[in-house]
Amino acid sequence: MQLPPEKKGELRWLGGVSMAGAVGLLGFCGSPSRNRRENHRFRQWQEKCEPNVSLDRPEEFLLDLHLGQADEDVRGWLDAELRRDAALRAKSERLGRVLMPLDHWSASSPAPNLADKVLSYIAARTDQRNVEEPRRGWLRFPAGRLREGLAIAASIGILVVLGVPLLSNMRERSRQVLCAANLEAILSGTSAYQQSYAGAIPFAGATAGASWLPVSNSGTPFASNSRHPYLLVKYGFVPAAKTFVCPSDDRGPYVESKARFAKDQEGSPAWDVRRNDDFPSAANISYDSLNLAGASPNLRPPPTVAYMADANPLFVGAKFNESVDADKANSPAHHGRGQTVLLMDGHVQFAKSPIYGTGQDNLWLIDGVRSYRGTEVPTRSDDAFLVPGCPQSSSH
Amino acid sequence: MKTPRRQSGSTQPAPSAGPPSDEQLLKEFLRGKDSSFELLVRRHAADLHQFVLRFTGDSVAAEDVVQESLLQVHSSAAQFDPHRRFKPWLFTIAANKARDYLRRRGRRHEVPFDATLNDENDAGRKFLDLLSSDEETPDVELSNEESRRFVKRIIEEMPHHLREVLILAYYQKLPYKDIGDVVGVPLGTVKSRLHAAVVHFGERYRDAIATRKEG
Repeated sequence: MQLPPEKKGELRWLGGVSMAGAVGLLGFCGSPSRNRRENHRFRQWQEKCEPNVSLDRPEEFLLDLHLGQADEDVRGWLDAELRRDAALRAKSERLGRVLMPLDHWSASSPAPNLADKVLSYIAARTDQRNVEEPRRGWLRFPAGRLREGLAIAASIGILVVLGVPLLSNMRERSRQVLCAANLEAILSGTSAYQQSYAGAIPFAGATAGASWLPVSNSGTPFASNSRHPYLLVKYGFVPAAKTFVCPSDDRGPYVESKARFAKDQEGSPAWDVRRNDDFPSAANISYDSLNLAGASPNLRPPPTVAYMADANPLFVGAKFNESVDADKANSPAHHGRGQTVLLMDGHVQFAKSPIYGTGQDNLWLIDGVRSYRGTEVPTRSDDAFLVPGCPQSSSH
Repeated sequence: MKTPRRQSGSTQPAPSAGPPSDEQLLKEFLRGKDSSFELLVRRHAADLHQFVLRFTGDSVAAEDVVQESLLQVHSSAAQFDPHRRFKPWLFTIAANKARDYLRRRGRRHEVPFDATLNDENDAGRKFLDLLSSDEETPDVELSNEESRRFVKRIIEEMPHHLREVLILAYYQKLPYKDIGDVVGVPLGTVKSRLHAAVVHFGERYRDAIATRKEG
């Protein structure tokens, strides 16, 4: 990038500033006499836009400056600070040296006819969609002969009789595959979240003495367990909110999330993912997750522990059902055949029993506890207890 | 005092003077003018390709993702909110498709990331530590090609969520606000991820050079 000679002098003391940084520095023309005015303007801006940023820490803005993301007010303020403070200049130089190698990675240019290829591709795909399916005659038998027609009809009848249960099984198998794919996507998002939060699984905070089941009486507070996995959606670690809905789940109307760029429409049932702290409805969260209530939530569970699975059969309609045999009952999600389980070690498996792993832990229970009111919490880090999310106190 | 703003933070389409804005072209396309869509493709295909290529590290996949992304723009144009900017929308679509591609490919060879370094709350402190550190990159003569290979490898091994903000901010030069829209996270998270990405890159690059020097 060619800089005017008068700007090069301004940049010299900033050391090896990358090209992007140099763009950000073009506004550096202020004289030390502007210092007080710039500081005043910056303070006004800071109070309004970034109240948590300390004016005593101008180095927090150096990356903005090097990436060309700082606006003229911030640049003016930093200009004055950089002139005044040699240590800050040294930090800016160091940052420039850290960023400089990034300029060496120039991605190879696309094919010169890329745009033409894209346009041809789009034309071909849209033409394909516009072609009408050829109309087919109703029961048009080959050669039009009745005997052959009857033979074909009989064959179809036999296939239907034999095929319906087979088809039903195949459909359920494909739902299990899709369900496993959902949990794998959630696993991927959870791993990214853990990398960002010192290995901790998503945790939205605890309320002292709160129940994870909705409570109708007394002053017991309620804190849905689904607030925790919701962080994965809210902060984009799992991009599609529908990933949390098992394809076999038919518990009610799914509430669509607001398209990120779509206009707000009054009366629309859409919910804004980023402005909320929990799923909008129980129909939007099929999977039950590790109970994180209590004073010492299990934020770094060992690898052998189950983190998430299809719905716990002990809690129907957000109420504990004591008539269910917790040692044998499978999730209702896959017709009672089993449940897809996501383990902390990264495995996703379809388990045909609630007892899993070498520790023979029960997914649905706290060890030794057989009855639940909503305030029970596991006491051991290797004891998985998967509980329903009950967003906004709606029924599960 | 005029309202201070981050550079190019505006989300409004550009005024009509000069070449037509992306948003105007999309509007014309929706009214039936196919040549406007063609102009959009010609304007953004190469830029989008650079982004996806850096994100996926695979030139064939990059072309596929670009094609599929622009096809989706073509078929979903009516859903675009004309009050928003076109480019972040386009990059959001491409980033989603690139992530899907990486997921399908089952790519899992990112290096384990030091958890304390990765904590977004901690990213600011680590970043300040990096700026204050006396530890310099070892003085080794590297060819540009060698340096390019180091940079490429380090970025490709970076966790997705750091890699995408670094590429969007450094190479694509998208404003923070637009990056937030593309990635679907608040502005503060964009900044903390960027700080974490720079620390990650700086430390890995320094280690790579040190290893090369010892070798």
